[in-house]
Amino acid sequence: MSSNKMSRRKFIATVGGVAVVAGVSGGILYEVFRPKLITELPRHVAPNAYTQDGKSLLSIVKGTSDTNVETMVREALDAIGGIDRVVSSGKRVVVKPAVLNNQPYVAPDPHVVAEVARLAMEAGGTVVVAECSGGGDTSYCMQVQGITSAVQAVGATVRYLNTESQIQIAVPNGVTLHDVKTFPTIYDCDVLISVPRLKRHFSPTPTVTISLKNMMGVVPLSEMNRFHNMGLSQCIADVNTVMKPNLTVVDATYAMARSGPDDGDPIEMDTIMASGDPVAIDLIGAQKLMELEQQHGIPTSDYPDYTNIAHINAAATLGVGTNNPDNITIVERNLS
Amino acid sequence: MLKTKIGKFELLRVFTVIFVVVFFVVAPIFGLVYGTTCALNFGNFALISPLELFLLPLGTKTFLLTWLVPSVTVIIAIIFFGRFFCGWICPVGGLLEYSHLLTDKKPRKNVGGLYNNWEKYAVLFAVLLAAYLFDFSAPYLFSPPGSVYRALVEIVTHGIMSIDLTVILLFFAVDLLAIRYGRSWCNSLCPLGTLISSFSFVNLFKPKVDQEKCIDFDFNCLNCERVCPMRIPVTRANRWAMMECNKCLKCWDQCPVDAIKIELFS
Amino acid sequence: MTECLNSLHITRREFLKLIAEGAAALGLFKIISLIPSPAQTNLVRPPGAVVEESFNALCVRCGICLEACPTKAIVLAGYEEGLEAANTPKIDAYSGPCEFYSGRCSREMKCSKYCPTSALRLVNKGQVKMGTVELDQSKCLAFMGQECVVCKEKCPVPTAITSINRRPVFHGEQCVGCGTCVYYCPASPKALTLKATGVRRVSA
Repeated sequence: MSSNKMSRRKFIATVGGVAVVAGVSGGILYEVFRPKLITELPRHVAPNAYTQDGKSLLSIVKGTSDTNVETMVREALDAIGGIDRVVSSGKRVVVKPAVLNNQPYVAPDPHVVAEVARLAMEAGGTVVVAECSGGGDTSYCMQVQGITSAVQAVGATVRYLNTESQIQIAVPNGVTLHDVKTFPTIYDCDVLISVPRLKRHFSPTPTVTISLKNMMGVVPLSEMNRFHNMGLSQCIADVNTVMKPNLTVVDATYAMARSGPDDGDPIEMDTIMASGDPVAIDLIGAQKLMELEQQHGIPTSDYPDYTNIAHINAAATLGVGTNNPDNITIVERNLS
Repeated sequence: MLKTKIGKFELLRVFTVIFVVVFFVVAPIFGLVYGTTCALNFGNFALISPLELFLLPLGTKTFLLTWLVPSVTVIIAIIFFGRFFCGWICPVGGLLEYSHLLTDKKPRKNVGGLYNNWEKYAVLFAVLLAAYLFDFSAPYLFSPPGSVYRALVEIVTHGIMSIDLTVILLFFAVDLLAIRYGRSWCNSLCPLGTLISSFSFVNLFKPKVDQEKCIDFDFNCLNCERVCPMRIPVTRANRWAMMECNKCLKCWDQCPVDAIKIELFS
Repeated sequence: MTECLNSLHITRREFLKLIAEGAAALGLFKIISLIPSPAQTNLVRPPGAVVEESFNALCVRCGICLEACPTKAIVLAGYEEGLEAANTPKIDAYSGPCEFYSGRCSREMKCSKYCPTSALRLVNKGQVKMGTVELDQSKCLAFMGQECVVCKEKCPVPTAITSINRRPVFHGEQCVGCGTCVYYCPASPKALTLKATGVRRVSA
């Protein structure tokens, strides 16, 4: 047996030296790679482009079951001023559908998402359809919902945010949140378009999930856990101050009523709504949803009135939009 | 007596062992093949290792027809190719053979157990009997390549923190022993190896010694015996001794007078 | 045959030694396996698993189910679950949700499809109950006044979790034990655990 005799002193010195080098290099690497807090707001945050005389524009397009969905989307956007108020040549556009899981009538109709993407491309933007679903693997859910294939057919790219790296950004005006994690795709885009479906949500109080709650899909799942621990409604409002869609197109061809987001009754409504004000569209959407439920004999006495929904009012207080119906100009078009 | 050099096939063999490990670790990501050396599933057909094949009916006291094709395929391969698995695929075997490189440059000579001891049959017998008595495939613990592959699969699927501490300890213990004893586990204790060698009846690619060229008795050469990791007396081995051959091709490489040929049928 | 035995050079003394060593090894095995392992009765097995008495004999610890699982829900049991069950597959709901009922695995149970020894078998998913979920109210956000019924939202079985008075209510008989609610529970520490109670397995 060959003997590697090393004196005890030398051995301790070697071990000590290795430990010091490992510690110092570990510290340096940690500092270099630690996620830093980004204090500049995301690029897309801007005042509402769809206003008239100081009031938020909101369009409601009603059709029939035979009306072409793409036509309804175009009409809805045309009624508030067209998509080129926010998208111009060279802009990076993110279309954010509310996918959630693989259940029917939970996500917006793939034709609606694809048409919004196509119109944005027509206006000169490069379009990415991105989502981080909270109810299952994003890639699986988007494929089952038909959104992946519809969007790729018009030439837009799909990004599954749950596979991206995370960055941390500051929330300067947040009440509960002072920072939030999100993804580079969302942070770097020039235009953020929110495409949700009109849905009830029992979480556990009866409320709605439209555009404001759709922004829960631009943060990682770990952040959603944090919000549930800290008070969800205020967190939704805080997130919307830094992740503020420039345009929202609500798919109300079928609305999830009575309960939700996936265990309610999908009721045919044949409506598309659009606005540059996410608070306004949530407010009017909630109003229309309750009207629909009352028309169909669903008991709504336990449900809060559309003016009393916690996250909508919290977002209005923070200046994300307006929850005062007098400050909203509604443009209605009937295509039947 | 005569210096041993790194043979042509040693590098190829080491590369093959590493390649197989990497392949079985990476391929599941693409859904090509799942499993370890205990059992593999290629999607449409499966293979079951012979040790596990014997443990299954002993533990369950039945025989399911679904085991038939996966096991018969492997048994037939063993009948024809013998301990080829030990030489070219088993990662533990490769590790044991080259662990001596950690401490000194000269390979150890004349250490370790003989190929024809009876302890390994005792171990195999105990392992099989334990499965029968205790109704579980406990002796799976004694399949070293299975344990190594299983640890790798766990790391790849669930991250480095999921590693089984006992595997690491066993790894180091075996490595330390291997420095002194080389491949002795393989030829004198391994129940999987014992089972494989019991079935290698046809045993293709055996070394055959040309007795006229051989300088063994004139010059007391015995190079082939010295380099054989299975400690087979190559020049005098009978058929049963040759069943231990793991096709490493070292004897062929190291014979100074090229008296050994590897033939398909010997 | 005699040639083979002769090449073994076995003497009578050595033969007896063989028997003695074998017996000693067996004794050691038995002693080790007698170490009580209470954790083992609480193992949640992958869907399609046969009854526990046969499972440990059928499973050869090959790790195929681990690799085939698309949601990383399957892990290997450790030695603390007893020697008999060590290295066999179990469901760890913290690692991933089992989506055999609805999701990435709902059309086929991948673990059972690829198991080579039939320790896991392809069965109708309606016949499978892997376990039941239990709620610890002291950790549940809803019971502490927060707005949360994420468990109800993620549960793939429509009637297994309902909500009354802003809090989740668990209906154990409908629960299939998939662990999806456990995986998504936002409380820290989690308020839900998946236990192997009321299981329905495949008979061997």
